[in-house]
Amino acid sequence: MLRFKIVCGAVLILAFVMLGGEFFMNVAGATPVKPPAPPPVHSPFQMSQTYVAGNPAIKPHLAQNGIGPAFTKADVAAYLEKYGFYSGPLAPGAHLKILTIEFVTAAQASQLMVGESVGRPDNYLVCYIKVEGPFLLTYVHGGVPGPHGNTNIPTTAKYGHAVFDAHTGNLLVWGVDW
Amino acid sequence: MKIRQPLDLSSCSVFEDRAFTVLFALILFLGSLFIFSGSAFAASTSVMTHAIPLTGYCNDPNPHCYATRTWLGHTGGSSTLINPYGSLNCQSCNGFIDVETWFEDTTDSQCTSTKYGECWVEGGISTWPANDPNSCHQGYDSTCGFWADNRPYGGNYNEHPLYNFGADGVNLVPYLFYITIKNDSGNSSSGSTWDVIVNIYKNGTLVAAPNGQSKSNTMNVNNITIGSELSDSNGSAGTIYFQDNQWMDTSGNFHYQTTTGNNYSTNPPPYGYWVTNPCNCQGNTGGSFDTYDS
Repeated sequence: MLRFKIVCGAVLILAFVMLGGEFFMNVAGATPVKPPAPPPVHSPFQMSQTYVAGNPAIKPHLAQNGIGPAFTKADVAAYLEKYGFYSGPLAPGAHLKILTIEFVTAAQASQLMVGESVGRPDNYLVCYIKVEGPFLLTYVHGGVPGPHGNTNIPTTAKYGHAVFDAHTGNLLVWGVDW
Repeated sequence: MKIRQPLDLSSCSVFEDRAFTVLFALILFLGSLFIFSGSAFAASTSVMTHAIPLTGYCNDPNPHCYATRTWLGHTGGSSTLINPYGSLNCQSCNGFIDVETWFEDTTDSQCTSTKYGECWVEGGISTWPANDPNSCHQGYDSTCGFWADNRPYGGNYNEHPLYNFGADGVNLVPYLFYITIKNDSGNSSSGSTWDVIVNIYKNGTLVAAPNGQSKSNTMNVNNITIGSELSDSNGSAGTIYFQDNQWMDTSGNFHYQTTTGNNYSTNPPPYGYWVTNPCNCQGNTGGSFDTYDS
């Protein structure tokens, strides 16, 4: 009888351990429960209140007087040489060529990018760069297939450009040109 | 004459026998649950599982792969809620997997003559590989919000960061990502400046409202698309819903989509299907489109 009790006890403990493990595994893998999402609210567009900080890029190190940049053109060149360009790696056999590094206003940078928004006030100081590859477009979020087009996604671009915040060194926008 | 010994009631009572009988029945019952259901709680807690194997379609990062739905028709605005019930994963990828919406002109010659054959404004949530210097968490596989456009007349493709969600595979369940793309200066489908309005909630609290503007983008918008884009066979994603799908009329009023749109998806992965169809019916909120890649 004692052996019977021990066996039964062991089986019972094993069963509960298995049950517990199974329960927690299922809880982890189960469809999460979320409260219902509120319906969208279409508030007026207010760009000036929601400027995006940008992605970390060049480390600022110069003393800030509120006017000048916090890094040098040499810092930008070193950054580009180290990390390459944003669209993807250089095409096989290609070498990165820096065509332009200049500190300009956001309005001027926008003009250099055929009107692309920089996401800063017009007179804000930014750093515009232009590089030559060609570059692969590995990281480009391409268009979408539809009834009329985009079945032919390009795979390389000859030129790239980018704009950095002159005070924080953060990347604000990048793009490619053919 | 052999005398029968009395039973030892202290070690084997009627009560104990019954207890062990009940115990055995319980163990047998639990065992049968494991055997016949495979999981004791499978039916009650694992509501939805996606165990469809990868097809390998995206072994080559080009072309990209899509699970999408597209509504055709001119409009000056669109809106959707990206509601994650899982994460986006693309560790050690060269490409990415994302969930996003596109607002497009696929017919005007100014756009069909661009390198991509169309103009658009897009925005959503994507993975970023560690070797992409544009990652919102530089040097690490990351999950980031972004918007981008492809413009005519030499404007070409440009991309803007929006938000840092964290590492690749970060739990996106606490988040709601509302995105509206609309004409900045009117309600027409034709325009040159388009507002990208994003509201990001975490655990019910607004944590960011990053906006952008696509300028010098002279589109005449004729498509709204929602869905997932994949450019690396290592990508995977949990269930992520597109809900509150809306379009804007010429008076600037938003309306819920009432049809399921067109399916121009490539072969899976990623996968997409309507969990709830948009309908011209009472209680319609633009449907719920599920994308995933398991």
